[in-house]
Amino acid sequence: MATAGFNGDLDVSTDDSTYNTIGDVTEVSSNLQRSLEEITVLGDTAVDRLPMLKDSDFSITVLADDTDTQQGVLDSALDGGTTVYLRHLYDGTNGFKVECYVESVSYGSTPDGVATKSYTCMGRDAWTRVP
Amino acid sequence: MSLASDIATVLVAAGLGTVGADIFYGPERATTEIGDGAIFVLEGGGFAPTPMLGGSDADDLKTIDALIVVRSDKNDFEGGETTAQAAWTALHKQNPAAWISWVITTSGPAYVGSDETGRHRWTLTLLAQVLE
Repeated sequence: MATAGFNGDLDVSTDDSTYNTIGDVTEVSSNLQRSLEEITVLGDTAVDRLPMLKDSDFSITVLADDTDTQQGVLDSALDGGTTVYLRHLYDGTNGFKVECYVESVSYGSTPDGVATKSYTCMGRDAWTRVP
Repeated sequence: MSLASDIATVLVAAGLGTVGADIFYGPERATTEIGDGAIFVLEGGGFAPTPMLGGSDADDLKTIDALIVVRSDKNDFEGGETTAQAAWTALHKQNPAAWISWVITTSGPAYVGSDETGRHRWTLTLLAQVLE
């Protein structure tokens, strides 16, 4: 059965043990992918491919809130070049988790809107599906 | 937290009247118990909320609107205009801490004409954002 998008959940952890929900998330998009190497040879009648490495990334948009501890965890990871563990439960129950580096954060301020932050995070290890 | 009551509180603090005497909640009324010079504050439904992730218990970013009508005696256009401008100044970007922002949608009070008895009227539309 389809699930409303607002039921989704995005959690962060520094130790892959205790996860806490990132506050005021308005949008998250995560991607799991595996690169494929083409290995077609002469005489083949169709393209063949070989599975290569897994990869993952996140795009996260939040309302900027300096009192939100978990947003601070992402900021600290970016500042310090350390990793965090992100867990995206796309329907509130099912999803995946992966260790990530925070690659960038973009700040947005519009006079008639709300200040926002947009993070890009890149996986550095294989993902694990949860639960 | 009520947007209308918070607006009224700001208007009172700006010296523009007293709730129940010349500042009233709800739509403009022609009743004789209310004097010609009056301010009416009507809270609206606003726009569609932006839900935060996290399920039904998570906050929504709400944008609520309020219509403020400033009315003056038919022989006091200048006084009414001054009051309306003072209300604009008191409200625009002057949200109390519980609100994320207050913005008036026009660069000054909009004169909307006189009523059937000649009383002048100006309107302000305020957009308020809150996370709740």
